[in-house]
Amino acid sequence: MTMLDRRRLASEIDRVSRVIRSHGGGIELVEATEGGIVTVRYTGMCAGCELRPVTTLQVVEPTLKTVPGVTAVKTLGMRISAEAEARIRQESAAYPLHIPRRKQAEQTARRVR
Amino acid sequence: MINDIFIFDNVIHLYDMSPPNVRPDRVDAAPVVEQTLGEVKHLRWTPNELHDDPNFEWGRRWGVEDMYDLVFKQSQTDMAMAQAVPMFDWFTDWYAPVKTQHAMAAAYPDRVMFCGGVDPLYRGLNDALDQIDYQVEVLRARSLKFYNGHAKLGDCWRCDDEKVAYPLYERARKAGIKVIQFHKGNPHGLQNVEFLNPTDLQAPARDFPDMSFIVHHLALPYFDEMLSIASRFPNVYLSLAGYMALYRIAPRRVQHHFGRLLQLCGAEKILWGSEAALAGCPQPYLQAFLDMEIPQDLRVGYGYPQITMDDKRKILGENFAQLMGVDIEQKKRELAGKAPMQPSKMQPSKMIA
Repeated sequence: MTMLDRRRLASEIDRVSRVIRSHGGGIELVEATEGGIVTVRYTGMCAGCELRPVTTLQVVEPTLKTVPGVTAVKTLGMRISAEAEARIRQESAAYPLHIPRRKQAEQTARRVR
Repeated sequence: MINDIFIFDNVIHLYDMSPPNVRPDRVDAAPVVEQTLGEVKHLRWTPNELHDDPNFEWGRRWGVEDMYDLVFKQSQTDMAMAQAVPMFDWFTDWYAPVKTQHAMAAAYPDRVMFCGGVDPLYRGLNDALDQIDYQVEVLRARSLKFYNGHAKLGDCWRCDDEKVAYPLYERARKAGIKVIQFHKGNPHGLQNVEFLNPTDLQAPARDFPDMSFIVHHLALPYFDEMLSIASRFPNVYLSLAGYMALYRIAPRRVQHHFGRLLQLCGAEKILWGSEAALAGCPQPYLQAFLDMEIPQDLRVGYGYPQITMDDKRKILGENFAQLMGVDIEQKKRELAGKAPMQPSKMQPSKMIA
């Protein structure tokens, strides 16, 4: 089992928060187990948003799963059915997270206050 | 406990709808009592010989032993919070008196917590603040319940009123109370329903972030507003407070509501509440909740997640235990071998109201 890289996890949570700052919100870490199950919660405008599952499956989960040792990503206060998750994953498959665009979004977020 | 699931009931009430407690000076009092008893009779699931007996008087002053029998002997509930109902509109000693709730907690301190209650327009704000001190310091209230909607407009107040309501929260916080509770939705009789809209809890939840706000009855008919608030405010929780009684009447509606709750605010925000005694014995509701599933067509068509045993475990006890600082494993050990408990001698206490 790969050890969870907690420093890298914190760094990626910062980065993904900058990306979704374009929505006026962010994410923060709630818990990361030794087994690599990471739980985050949405903040700001994203708290309570009905579209959190889309952001989670398209942006948050793929990013955090690049961290060594992360096995699953959960979001506190939000869950959808397996059927809905499958639909989002299928529709998102044609639009993978584009790294240059993500970097651009991060840079923009640093400038916007 | 059901299997190993710890059951912590957020809300039981030792009501007093007995004739001596009905206000003689209010012409609307007796009809409201009659209407309420008639309504809950249809909601109640009670496979219980005594309670199915048409001669059983539900409009009684519920006593400690009646309540212990109903909640702890006839159901698998482990702990409960006895909550005062500071509705003075139709009752001399309130709908659910401070005295009887406190007596319940005093008789069974290892199973029952006392939740006090005050109203700033009953005998004025100053009296309500003194009552908070008294109920917390002397009667050992662990929480406080507020009812801001009343039968007369002049008796209603808003929960975000900085002059009337905020002093209550400040005094409660100063006294050490961390959890405060509100009746929202579910109007009694001909009350103006807008005072029971939960939107006036947003400002206090924002301004008192160190306190937890429990809202009862899912604020129905304001479910959408309630869901939005609970999903955005980390310190707002929802008590089911008798809601499962609807499952027999409208199971699909209940499944829809639970589906939306799990989808948007999560099981961590939901608290089990039986609303015994008027809702009857908690056991059939507990069993119905444990058996409940979100059907496939709702999962496919609305994206609702399936309700899991982990969700149910949190809702039935873990969430409220965490809010009230109860260590479940330690409590299980403490209660092991004690059931069925024998009633202890009632604690004499300095009574009020």
